[in-house]
This record gives sequence, structure tokens and C-alpha cells, in this order.
Amino acid sequence: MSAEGQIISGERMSKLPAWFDNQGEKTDVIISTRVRLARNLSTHRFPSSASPNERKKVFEEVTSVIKKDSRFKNFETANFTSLKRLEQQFLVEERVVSPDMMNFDGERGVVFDQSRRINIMINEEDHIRMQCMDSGFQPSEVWDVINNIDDILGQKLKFAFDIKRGFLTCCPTNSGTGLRISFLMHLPGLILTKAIDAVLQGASQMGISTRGFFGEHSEVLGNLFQLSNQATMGAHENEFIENTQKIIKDIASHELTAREKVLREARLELTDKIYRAYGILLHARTLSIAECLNLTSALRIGINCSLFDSLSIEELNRITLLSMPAHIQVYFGSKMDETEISVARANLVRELLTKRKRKRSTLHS
Amino acid sequence: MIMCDECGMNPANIHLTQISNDETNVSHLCDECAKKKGINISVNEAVFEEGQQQEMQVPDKICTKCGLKYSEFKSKGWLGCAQCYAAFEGEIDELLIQVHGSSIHKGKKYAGNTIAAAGVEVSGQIKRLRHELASAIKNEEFEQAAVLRDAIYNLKKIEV
Repeated sequence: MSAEGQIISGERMSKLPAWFDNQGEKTDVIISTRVRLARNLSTHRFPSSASPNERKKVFEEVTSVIKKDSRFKNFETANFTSLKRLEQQFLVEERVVSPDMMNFDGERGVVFDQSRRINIMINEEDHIRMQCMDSGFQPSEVWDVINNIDDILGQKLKFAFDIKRGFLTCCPTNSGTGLRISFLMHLPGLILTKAIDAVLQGASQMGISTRGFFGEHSEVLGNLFQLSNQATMGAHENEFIENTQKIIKDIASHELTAREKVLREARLELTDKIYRAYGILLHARTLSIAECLNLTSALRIGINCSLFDSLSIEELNRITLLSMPAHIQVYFGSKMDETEISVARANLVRELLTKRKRKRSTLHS
Repeated sequence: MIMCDECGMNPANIHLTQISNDETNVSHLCDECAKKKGINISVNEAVFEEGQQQEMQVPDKICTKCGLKYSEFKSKGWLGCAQCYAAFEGEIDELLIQVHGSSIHKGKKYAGNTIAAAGVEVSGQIKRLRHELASAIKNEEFEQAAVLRDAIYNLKKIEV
């Protein structure tokens, strides 16, 4: 395990997190798959009730177990209490921690791997929230990783477990398996064909919750939806994963059908929408995060439907991540207010798109 | 710590709010005195005498391990410790069924680190599950009974 070091590094800025690297299956609709398990130590009160000293003990107990295990040797620890606000926000944007982590008080933090594929949050809502996320549709792969980490930690730490109710969590909505499997999906086709409400309503009746890009309490932007299982008790982990992935696959195929319909019936309108979005991104002088995500969503469907080839998905993902508030401030190396961020975002997007355009015209000449 | 209004000797675990003829009466009782007064600490099983004009009789339970009141959990949505699940058993089970459609864990078993330290808890759990098993059979809830039977079997393995 590397020492507590620099949260923001040039290397981290230049390399996309594993969940956003576009390497998995079905990335044209499913951007990433995430599995998390919630666990608590039976010997301590849950974080919301624990004293500062108790939280500290939990933090030390968990991190020391991880530090001693060679299987976590390439992991890094970030103690949130010693991080600047900008560094905390940076980790949220990289999805290394949940946005809630910034709102909690007291000793808390995260242990994560270099590729930002695995993270173990300590003293979030529960003592331990371990997650694995990867790009595309990879439910079994990420579940195997996190199941294994759960076994490793469970042998060294004493988890709160009741044979009838399973793993006991701070909020009973997570107890039992403590498992949440979620898929970040890009669904512009269902929005354009106005089928989204019916599809999400159907999913909800089958026990699927819908949230925004950053999960709980986050708003839906850029046609990006996080869909996950609602219940965590009453079935085996494998059943929850199997049921959820089946529904997700169905939704993905509805999305593709919707895209085909749009291409068949409104190809020109869609192409026009994509190039208008490209025009704004190339020339705007201010861009809010919402506008930026909505415009990049148009480029994303353009690339997926082969209507737009001035960018690759990887380049688009890089623009999307770098245009997040903390990333922008790191990129330009200065602290900014919201208006300054909007201006900087427009500059950054323009710079990255123009660079790309120049590169392409050199290649073509 | 609030002491019992009746005996003044023990800490009050039950906080009873009675509303009768628009008058609110709050009393704090220990488990023993509550029992003597015929107050059952489980809200689900609370017995309301017919003919009395009692509109509400909801005792506020407290988890003896972490001190969290049930009313605090209801307003914040967060439990205080693992023991709260036993302290607010009836209410939590009802909530679990609402949220998950079940209050029985069917997933991964964890024997890991709990065996030695959880001896006492385990025998208590077996007792509780046996009680639930009997009532499940009585109510002809055989699917539930099978799950409970398996849970008891697994617990017994841990106990040994």
C-alpha cells in the first residue's frame, strides 16, 4: 500500500478511471457496472451514532487490516478529514467516493486502487462500503471481485450479522445482503421516442430504482441514468444480480430499438441535433455542467450511431470527466467560483475539441 | 437518564404517551413496572381495551446498547447499532417487509469472526426463531417456516 499521498496527480488526470474507459461490453448503452456491499463492525455503534473517538477506532481498525494484507499493496488511503474540499470533490467526480461522503462529519475516508476500479469507504453511512466498478456490462466480474474482498475483510474484522436478517446496516433499506448493483446507462433513444417514463415505470414495478449520474440524491443529466436493485433482503446475492441484469439488458435492447426507430424516422433531425450540439460546444463562451452533459450526450449518440466521427468515445469521456467542477479547477490550476467555472468549462471543451479537429485535418491533408 | 415514574429505582426504558379526551399524559416506566401495568412493549401486540377513549398509545422504545430511541430512528432513518434490530424488532421487521418484501436473509452466510464472541447472542436468536417457527406453522405459512427451520439449523451449527 502506498503512503497517503497526492490525491490529484498528473497521471490520474491523464488516465480515465476504469469505469469510464469504454473497454467493457455494451458500452454504447451501458457506461458502467457497479456493485457495492455495506458492512458494519458488530463491536461499534454505526457511524451516525458513534462518538468521534469510536469513528476513529473504526477507521484505524479497518485501514490497518487492509494495510497489513499484501493483496491490497497497490491501494491508497485517503483520510477525508485531512483533505481539502477540492480534493474531496475530485474523488467524488472520479466516483472513488459517494457525494454523501462530503456531507458526513468526523473521521472517514477511502481506500482505493490506482485504476479507480475498487474502493472501500470507511465511516460513510455504514462502517464499510466496498465497491467495484468497471466499464460496460460486467455484473459477474465486478461481483466476483467485491465478493472476494468481502471474504478477505470478513475474516479479519467482526461484521454485524444476524442469521435471520443477514448483514446489519445503519439503514434497514440496505440490510440482508447489503448489496446494490447499479448500471450507469445512456438512454437518449428512449427520451427522444418519449418511451422513457413507461420503461422506467415498468422497471420500478420490477424492483429497480432510478437515480442520476452520481447516485442517490443526484439529478438526471445528459440522459444518464443509474439503475439499481431496490430490495437487498429476501433473495440470494446471485438472484439479485441475475434479476437486475436481466432487466437492464431488456432496457438496453429497448434503447437500441428506439435508436433504430429515430434513425429510420428522423435521421435528419437527429443529425442536425448532433451537429448543433457540436457547434455550441465548439463556440460557447460559458457552459453549465447540465448544458455540457446534455450536449455531450448528443455527441455520444452521434458516435454510437455512426452519424458523427470527429471524436472517439474515449475522448468524449475524457471531456466529460475533465469538465466536472473539481477537475476543471485542477486542470487550470486555480480556485474558481461557479461563473468562472462555466467560462473555464467552455474554454476547456473548446480547447480539447479544436485540438482534436486540428489533429484530424493534419492527418487528412 | 430518566428514572421510572413508578418505582424510581430503575432507568425508564418505556416512554408512554397517552392521549385521552384531548389531554396528553406522558409517563416514563421501567420494563418491570410497565409489565405490572400490563403494557406490552411491542407496538404490534399492544392491547387496547375496548370502550376506553384511547386514541393512541405508542410507547417509545429505546435500544439499551446505544441509547437510540425508536422515534429518533423514525425521524432520521438511521439505526444506532446492530443491537437496535433486536430492540425494535417488531417495527423493523414490518419495515423490512415493506421495503424488501421479506424480513428474512437468504444470501451469503457469515460465520467468520462471530462464532466465539456471539455465543450468547446465538442462543437468544435460536429461541426467538423457534418462537417464530411455531407461529409460522400455526398460521400455515410453510414457506416462511422452512426458511426459519434452515436458519435455526445454521445457527445451531454456529452454537456448537
